Amino acid sequence: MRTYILRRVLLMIPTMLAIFTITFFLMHATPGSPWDSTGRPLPLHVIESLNEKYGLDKPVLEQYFIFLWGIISRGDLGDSYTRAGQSVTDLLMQHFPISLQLGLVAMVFAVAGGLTLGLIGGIQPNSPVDYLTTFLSVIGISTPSYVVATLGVIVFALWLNWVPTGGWDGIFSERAVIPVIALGLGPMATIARYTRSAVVEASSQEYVRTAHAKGVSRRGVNLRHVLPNALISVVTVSGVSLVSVVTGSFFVESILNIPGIGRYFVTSVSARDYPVIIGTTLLYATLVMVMNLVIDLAYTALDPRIRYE
Amino acid sequence: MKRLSHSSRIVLILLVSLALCITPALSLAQDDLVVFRQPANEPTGLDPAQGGFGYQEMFSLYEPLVDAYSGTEVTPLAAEGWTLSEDGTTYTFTLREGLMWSDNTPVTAEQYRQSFLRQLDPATAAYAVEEFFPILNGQAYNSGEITDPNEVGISAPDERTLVIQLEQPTPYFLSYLGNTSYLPVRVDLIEQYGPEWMEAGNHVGNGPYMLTEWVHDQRMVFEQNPYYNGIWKDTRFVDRIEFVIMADAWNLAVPAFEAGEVDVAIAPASELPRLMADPEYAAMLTPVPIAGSVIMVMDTQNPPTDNVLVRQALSLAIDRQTLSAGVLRGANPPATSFSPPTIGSHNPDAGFGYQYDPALAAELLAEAGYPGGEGFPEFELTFWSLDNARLAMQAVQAMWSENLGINVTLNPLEPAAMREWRISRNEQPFNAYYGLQWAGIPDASQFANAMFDPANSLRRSRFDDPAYVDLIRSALVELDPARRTEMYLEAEAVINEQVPIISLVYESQTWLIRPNVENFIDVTTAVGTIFRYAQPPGLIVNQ
Amino acid sequence: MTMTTLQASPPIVSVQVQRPPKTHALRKFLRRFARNRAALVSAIFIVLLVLVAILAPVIAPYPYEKTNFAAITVGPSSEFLLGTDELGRDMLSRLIYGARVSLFVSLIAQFVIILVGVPIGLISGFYGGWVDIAIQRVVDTLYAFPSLLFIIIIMTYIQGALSDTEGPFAAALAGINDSTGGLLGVLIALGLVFWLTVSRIVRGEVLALREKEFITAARAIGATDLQLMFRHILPNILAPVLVAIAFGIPNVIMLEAGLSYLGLGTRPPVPSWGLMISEGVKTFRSFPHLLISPGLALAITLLAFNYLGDGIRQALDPSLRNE
Repeated sequence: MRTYILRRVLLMIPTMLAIFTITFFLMHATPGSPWDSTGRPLPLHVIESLNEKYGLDKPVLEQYFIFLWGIISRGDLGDSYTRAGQSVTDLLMQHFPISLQLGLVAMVFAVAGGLTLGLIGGIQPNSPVDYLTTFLSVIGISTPSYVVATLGVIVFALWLNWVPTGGWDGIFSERAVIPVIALGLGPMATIARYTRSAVVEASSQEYVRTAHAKGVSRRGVNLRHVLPNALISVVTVSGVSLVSVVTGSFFVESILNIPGIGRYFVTSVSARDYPVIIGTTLLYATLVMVMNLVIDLAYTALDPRIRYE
Repeated sequence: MKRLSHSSRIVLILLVSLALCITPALSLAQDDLVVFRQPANEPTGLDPAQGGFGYQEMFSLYEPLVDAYSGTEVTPLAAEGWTLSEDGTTYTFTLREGLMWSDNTPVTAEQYRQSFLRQLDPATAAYAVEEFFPILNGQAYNSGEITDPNEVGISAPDERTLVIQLEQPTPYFLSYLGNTSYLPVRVDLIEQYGPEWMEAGNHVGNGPYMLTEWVHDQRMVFEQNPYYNGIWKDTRFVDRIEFVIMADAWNLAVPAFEAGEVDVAIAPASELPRLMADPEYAAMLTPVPIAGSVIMVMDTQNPPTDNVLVRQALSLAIDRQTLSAGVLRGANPPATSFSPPTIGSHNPDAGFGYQYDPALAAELLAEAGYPGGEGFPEFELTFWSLDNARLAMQAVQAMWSENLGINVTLNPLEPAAMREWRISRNEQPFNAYYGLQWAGIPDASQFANAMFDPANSLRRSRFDDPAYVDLIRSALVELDPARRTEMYLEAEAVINEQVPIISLVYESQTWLIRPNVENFIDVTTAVGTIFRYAQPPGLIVNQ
Repeated sequence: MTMTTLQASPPIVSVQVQRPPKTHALRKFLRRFARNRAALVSAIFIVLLVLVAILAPVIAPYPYEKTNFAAITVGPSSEFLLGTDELGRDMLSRLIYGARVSLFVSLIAQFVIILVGVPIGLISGFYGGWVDIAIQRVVDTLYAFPSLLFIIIIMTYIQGALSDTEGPFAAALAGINDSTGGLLGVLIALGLVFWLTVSRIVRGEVLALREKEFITAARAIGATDLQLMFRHILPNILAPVLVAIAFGIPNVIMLEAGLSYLGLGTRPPVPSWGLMISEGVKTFRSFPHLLISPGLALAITLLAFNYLGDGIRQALDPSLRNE
């Protein structure tokens, strides 16, 4: 087991290197430069001196190795071009925790809601309750998060005056309500769907029928036999959603004015803020790989038959 | 932060109670502070050498030598006055007495000199370095031709005297001096703290307010600078300015205003009909014109727009009134001349390019060889893919199709890619592209010379009429203001007739301002909106 | 970075399909499918929608780009059934043409995804060994890449490159780009991102089938690798691929909507639902009708595709038969 984890962790290194390399050359191949974002066009000589100041006048290959060496030798991702005086590491440290907190809470909301909806529907397949829960989860899947966020502001902040229109005051503040809903609705619907089909599948299995035949109560069967089976696919789906939810959402964070990391994925590309593009990409990649490992390990906990060598 | 002296506190409290009678809207914190909450985008920094900051933040934290924005005249600010030599090339400024930085150290002329030299230093890569090129040897020092800063025409013979020598008489130089690039910074602190000199706690400015808190992407808090000794000292009304930093202030400010979270907001065009329909909000709307034009640049050396008849036809076929009042909801006034009314060269009576005359337009196009749009070559209209540009360009496309029978292709580009595209058009031919031209200072040269002088690094429409270029070059350095304005009016007439660049509408901001905020906050307009957080001197009650 | 529901296309629950007797397969499938009423209604709706999209020039009351500056953002009326947009264009006509763009994009994107994902998954699963390891490393790497970022970079790159390069190849690409309303970038980007999921599903299926008797038998009578892969294995894994397509189409439509919100969508004045929604969201408080009609159209369509996918899966999956 330990060697398995070690091997997986070591495998992350070449993957990270590959991702770094692809991102680096892709972003440099994209037209546009980081300067001149203020509306008035900058004179060419100013752009040239800015390129010189930030080392962008060197050949791309040389820049690649300088950047790579900075990461390897000092763990330094460089300074943001659009945030004077802030290193990319600072920026990630400052904004990622906010998205992380929101994402975790949204995920709790999504898993709780999704499991409930899925179980209710799956236990009585094709009943009116099932149709209702399926309909709800499909609505959840088919509504873009920016529509949810915008409508949330209009209803909860402007009509009902329950919460402010946006901003961030910590995860326990009322300001976190709309973003949690907007972030969690999609994953909740997905989890509900997977739970439902896993439950339906599990209920038709031999051993569940046997348990029924032996006179175990319906609830007992559901809790002891159906639920654990459903959990396996829920873990997979939640793991995938979790990464995308904790890395924040550009739409939710922009509309609800959350200072999370999600909007940097987009704004850094629009601003051609190269160090931030690299930083956010590597952060995302690390999370995906760690999460994949966690999911695989969770399988062993949920299903004793699975073993990794 | 140390609080104000006892007497000024009493004055403040008096003012506050006065304000309370008239302004229930302003939020008052526990200890009777007047707090003003304003939406803002996260600034790139607070460094006058870079772009990406708000004018509002900069002019609250720093004070330039002169005030070029409050009225039509340039007036003294940190300088109590100045003299200009007979030949028009040497300015001598005298600083006000007792000016202090927010760390309680005196402001010296030498610090202004160092700040200006820092802008010119090639290593700084300052955004607006061209504003320093009128200074003697400024450009040479910036390009590395000379390396000794003492050869640059800036000197500080004593603590309160700053002498600036110019290459040649430059009538608009004083306006530059009031601009953000000429704000003084503490070079010693920049060296001490490195890039973190702009963070709260490190930052020191000479303006009426000082930075006390900056949580990136969330809020910025300014409080009164207790050591400030400048002209706003006794008229500062607001104790605390809270900048509510928004991810997208353009779209988020209005809902926040309606929810009572901020005291002012700029309303985007799409919100205007709804706000105007509500009497409460309609009363709070204040349109503020800005010295800028929304333009379409055409390549005057590439067919079909190398033919002046085609350019005139294209301009005459645009119904600017409909564009302004209908599509843009009245947020931007229709253009009646190339440069906007706040600029001296604005000349709506000259030329006929700015009328809406579809019949004449069709006639001109036929005369140019494309009757009813027949045989008109493929024509591409490039613009950045942002909301207003998308709307305006689709409207223009429809008007041209309707009035002239020509079908143009729209080519939206992502903004950063558009910038590079535009730079590459210095060499390559194009048809037309969308842009904004803002005046950095309220001077006609910002429109005529900036866009049409062939020596300019960003050439626009390749409009190389030698007589015109001579005219704007001599207007630039003309010392007699009346004659200068006359020359620019004449130049503008040429542009309005030849239309190498079409102005569509003028820039403007429609502010939502809570009732009575304007009673004590001076909304200053020229190149933008700047709140002074203070009564204009002379109007204050308690003096 | 989320486009939550857009991008998180979780590995679709694997469907084990036993090899059905070929002749009755289709009839059986249709009979089972028809028993699911929601899926049937959805299928009919989608067929109608495709018809509307194809017949757009005949059905639409106005051309989609026809402006009417005298009637800007008017509400629904007898003249404009769904009202007009910010340039006085008929919303109903734009919705009809928008269906064309949105469906076209998602179908082409699915086609690209299948074209790339299925062969790679087949090869990876069939050969195993170092081929599999190499391919899976690539897949893992791309999985760990933020897909929205990837899409934005590719789109910006293509947008910029198309307007600057010359030559026959670029001209051909520009032609495709023009005929899709400037969505070539979206198509390429989506194809590059979403093939991963499909290839994983296919690989999993192939791994399970590879050792089955009929494969061993075919191999014994001298079938080549290519024949094995495409004649014997491929028909047996079509079912999960079909399900993946049905679920993938909504993903693509939603993603196109998200990109429009970022200003990376269709070239104006060509409408797409995503574009209409993203414009409608920004002006919802002033002009709710700009969001409501495209929003509902999108929601109903996605609902239909989801029910359709469910229906196909249930009809194909024997373990769910007794539902």
